[in-house]
Parts: sequence; structure tokens; C-alpha cells
Amino acid sequence: MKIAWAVVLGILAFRLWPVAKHWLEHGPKGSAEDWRGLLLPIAAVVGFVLLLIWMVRG
Amino acid sequence: MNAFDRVLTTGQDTALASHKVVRNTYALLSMTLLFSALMAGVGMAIGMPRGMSMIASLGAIGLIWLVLPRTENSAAGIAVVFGITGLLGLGLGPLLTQYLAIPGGGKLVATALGGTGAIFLGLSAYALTTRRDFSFMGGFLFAGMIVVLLAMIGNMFLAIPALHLTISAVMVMLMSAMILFDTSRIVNGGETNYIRATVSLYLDLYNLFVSLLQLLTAFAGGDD
Repeated sequence: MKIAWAVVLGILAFRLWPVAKHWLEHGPKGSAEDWRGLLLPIAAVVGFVLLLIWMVRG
Repeated sequence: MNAFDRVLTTGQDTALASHKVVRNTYALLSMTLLFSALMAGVGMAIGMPRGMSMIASLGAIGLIWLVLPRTENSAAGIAVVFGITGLLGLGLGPLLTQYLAIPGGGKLVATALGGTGAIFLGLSAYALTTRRDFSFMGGFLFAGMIVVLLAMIGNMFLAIPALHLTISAVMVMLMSAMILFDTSRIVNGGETNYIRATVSLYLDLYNLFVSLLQLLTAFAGGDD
């Protein structure tokens, strides 16, 4: 079963490769401001997940 | 109609089209989430073995790869979306049974479920209200997914707990960023097919829930 899953995940990675390549080569490039705009929601998610961890440990 | 009017009309058409895609996507997503939860309940009720769970997940992957691209522009695509989400929900049944069997498992599942919902609602609201274009993350996200998949394959055989924890944490971050990416593509007209958009968002939610559940279980000291 482990090997079957590994094969499926390998195929998934293989199929994702051209998609990633396309986006890396032809996708829009983010400016410093774009990446800063991402910081706020991602920081909020990190904080929220830490809160959830604290809740389940308590 | 002069050029200025034409530009205005085209802009309104684009906004209306993206509004329609958003509405249809969220309507279909909410129905498929309910159906998926129902199927997960069925999987738990019938005591489905883990082997069957894998077959159900493989069936869903097969539908995504082979059937969805051929049906996404027709009404049959809706049935395929229900097929995908139903199979993934069914496959989730044995996993949930396993988590519910550990001490405090019910609290862990409920926390992961509530946490997933809150993260999804918060990030969707952010992407919908700011209308920021997060498509610049595309290359980074897909490359990140490949790295995570390779790490998952490696850890299947290495079984390093710290790596398992790291993969779950990275997946939570990647899926959160994917929600922003997918939602902004719908809002900004990068994704015009609500069937494809629904499957993308559903997979973000599914992976976020499973990764969050694994992360919370690891920190709570449970056995996953």
C-alpha cells in the first residue's frame, strides 16, 4: 500500500512539474509590495494555528 | 457607441462574469462540502477499511485527471464534481474513525474542522474584499507543492516524526496561500470555469483540514 501511494504521489509531482514550470516562466512576477500584501493574511493564519495548538494542548 | 463606452461596457461585462463565477463556485462548493461530509459519515458508519479509503481516493484522482478535463464545460461536470468530492469524503471516513478512537480525538477533529472553516472564511473574505491579485504566487506555490510531495514520498519510507510535522505545517501554509491564489483568480477573471474553481477550492480545503488535523494531533501528543 505504501509503495502504491508513493507511486501516486510521484505521478502527481510529475504532472505538477509542467504546471510549475509554466507559472515560473510565464506567470506574473510579484513586486515587493505584492509579497508584503501576502504577509498579513499568512501571519494571521500562523497566529491562528498557534492558538489552535495552544487550545488542544491545554 | 464610442470607444470609451465600449471600454466601460466591457469592464462591466467582465465584472458581472466574475461575479457569476464567484456565486456559482460558492454555491457548488457548499453543496459538495455537505455531500462530502455525508459520504465521510457513511464511510465511518459502514466501518470502511483503510484499503478501501485508498481506492476511493485513487478513484477521485482518476476523475480529476481523466474525466474532469473532458466534462468541465458541460452539465456533466457538476456530476463529476460530486463524484470527486463524494469519493474523497468517503476516503476520509476511515481516517476520521482512526482519529476519533484516540483520547480527545473528538476535540481534535472538531478543532481542525472549525479551524479549517475559519481560515477559509477569513482568507476568502480578504481576497474578495481587497480584490488583490495573488497570481504572482503561482510558480512559488506549484514548486512548493512538488517539494512537499517529494518530501512526503521520502518520509513514507524514512518515517521521521519531525519531517512529518514539518510537512503538515508547510501544507497548512501552502493551502492557505492556495486559497488566496484560487480566490483571487476567480475574482480577477483568471478562472472563468466555476466547476474547475470549485474543485480547486475543495482540494485546498480538504488538504488544509487533513494537514491541520495531523498538526494538532502531533502537538496534542496523540498518535497519528
